[in-house]
Amino acid sequence: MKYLALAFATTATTALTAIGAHAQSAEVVHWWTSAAESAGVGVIAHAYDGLGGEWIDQAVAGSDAAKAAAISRMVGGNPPEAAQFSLGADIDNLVDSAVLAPLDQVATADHWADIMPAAVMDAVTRDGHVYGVPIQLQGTNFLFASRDALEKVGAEMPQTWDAFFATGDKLRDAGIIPFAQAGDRDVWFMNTFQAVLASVVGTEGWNEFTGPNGPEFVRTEAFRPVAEIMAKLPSYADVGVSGRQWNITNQMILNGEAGFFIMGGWAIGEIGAAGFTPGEEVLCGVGPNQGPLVVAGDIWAMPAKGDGLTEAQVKLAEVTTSVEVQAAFTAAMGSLPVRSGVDTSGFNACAAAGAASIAEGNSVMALFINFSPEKLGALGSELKVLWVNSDATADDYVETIAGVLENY
Amino acid sequence: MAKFSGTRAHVYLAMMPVWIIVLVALVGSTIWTFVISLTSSKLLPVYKFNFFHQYELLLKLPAWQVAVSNLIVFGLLFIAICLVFGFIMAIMMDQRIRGEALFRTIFLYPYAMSFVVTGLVWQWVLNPGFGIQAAVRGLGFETFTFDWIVQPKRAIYVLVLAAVWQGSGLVMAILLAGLRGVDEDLWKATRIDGIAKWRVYPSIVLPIIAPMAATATVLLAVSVVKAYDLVVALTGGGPGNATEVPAKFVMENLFARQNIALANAGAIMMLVAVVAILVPMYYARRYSAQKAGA
Repeated sequence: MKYLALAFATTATTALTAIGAHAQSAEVVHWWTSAAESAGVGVIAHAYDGLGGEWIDQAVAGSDAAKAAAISRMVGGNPPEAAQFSLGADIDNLVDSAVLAPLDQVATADHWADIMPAAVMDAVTRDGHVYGVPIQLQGTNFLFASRDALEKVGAEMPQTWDAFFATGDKLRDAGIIPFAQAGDRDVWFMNTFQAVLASVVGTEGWNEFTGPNGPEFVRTEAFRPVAEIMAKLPSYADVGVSGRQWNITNQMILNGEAGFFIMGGWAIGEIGAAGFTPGEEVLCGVGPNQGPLVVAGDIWAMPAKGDGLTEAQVKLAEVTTSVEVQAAFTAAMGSLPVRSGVDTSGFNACAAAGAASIAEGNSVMALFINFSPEKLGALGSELKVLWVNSDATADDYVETIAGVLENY
Repeated sequence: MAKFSGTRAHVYLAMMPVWIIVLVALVGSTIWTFVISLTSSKLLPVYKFNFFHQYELLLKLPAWQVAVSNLIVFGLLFIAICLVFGFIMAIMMDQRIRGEALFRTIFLYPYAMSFVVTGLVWQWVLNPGFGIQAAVRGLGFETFTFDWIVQPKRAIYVLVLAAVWQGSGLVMAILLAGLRGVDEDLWKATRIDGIAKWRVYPSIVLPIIAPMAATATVLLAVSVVKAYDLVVALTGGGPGNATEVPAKFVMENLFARQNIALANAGAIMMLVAVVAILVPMYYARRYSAQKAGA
């Protein structure tokens, strides 16, 4: 008992000194837990610690669980200094409820409006105030292919959907799964849909789809090929889709078990972490036809603690958007920097293709930016249901997608 | 009790913490959940009331209807099969077999695992890529197919399979305790009358252990309504929406879809379902207890 009491006393004292000494400690909730991801988040943590702060890591596996943890703590009155959210409509409700601290002082001091793309600034600005620290941008619609698999059937990286399906037929005859689809979360079906949509309808069609006349657009001939491709894709995938995580699916490309895989840039980091060179053993392109890059991103939402930003929050925002951290962080993650002035010459072939698309203006903001989480969730689960329905036709896709756009 | 009436105050005092926890954590949270379900809250609670609007939305939602019908199929099969299996296992254990303790441990062991572990284990076992199907094919039976987990029309039975594997041991343990409580003289009497053993169990023993069976049923029913972790670990609600259940619908809307009012309406509907199961059972048991007492 005596030892126990002593232990308690020591812990209590340590806790008290901890509060006193580290006024600049920052608790950060995020969902970066895979190998490449934790290396990336380590870059920010290290840089933050280097400035005399103390990074308290609160990694939660899975974006839904991480957001749930952060929101629970905000509701409970004990918010972390920063929490990862997706760029876009994800923070709308938080802003409406006045839970977040405006970041205007940092944004103005560091001239975010000059160094960040306008679309990114729009996505974090509400009523003229900035409410999120952009951390990284990600292309979500890379088409990866196993070089081994393609060489076995004597095929090149396809440049059209027709070529994609023709190669798919050859792969299937050779006993290789043509298309690897992840299926443990609805969002992966959304992701594949976004890739098909962007490659078929291009930038203008994308804006129509996300605009007020979305349902009408879905019923036009311009959208038709999207539905046809979506209806055809499941027959090129294997039966193990349901419940399979994206990184396990990624492995299927790495070991030549499957031919093609559509996934976001985060897979590039994972391919590198597995000891492969993106662009060598694993080929990549933006969609099959170099259509617009579908850009998503991550931000730090900074909950208000007392009045305005705390010193720790300001420091974290500055560190995250600094040139050095952006360069090292995006290199580790396989993602794209949120600001200009970052040296991208060290990028691998896949990430460079993404960066080039953005530079050329050949990019659109992902559906996550405009659509509410509710709408996204509905679309994702409908797409998941259609995927396993082998009788689903292009008409079913058109009606279902138009229905979601109308109802949410 | 009368003998200890002088110390009653102490009893109540000792119970106070429990009552506070029950009132604040259970009753309080339930009321709060109900209140939020009457609002238009999205991500955070806001108290703009639109009364039963969320319930109206909920009952019209195909996703909720699918979840409820899945739960009914799952629940009926799971409870029925668990009770039958548990009863048969309990009878077999009751034959004074050698190594009873060993078997009891083996049968009860699955229950010691969380549903998440059960779900993952069965997910691997049933995965057509590397589970039973792949193993049997590896033995040379090339056309062997067992891929229920990826078939939208069969996946719900996979859920039942895994849940029965976990739950029937508990039913066995409860019913075995009941069987051991059956008066030895009754057995002697049936032997003298020359009644076959297979007739004695359903006609004489089963009514005696009925309260035990009711307890087991209630425990199983409650685990059905809150089925969430098993589904998440085993099928993730898929393929498609073939194994979606209400609890998963609630969890998804609570955070991922940022619609807590709708989620709480779903949670209240689940509570109503539980109450609808428990209240009649409670009265039935009280009624039969009174009858036995009279």
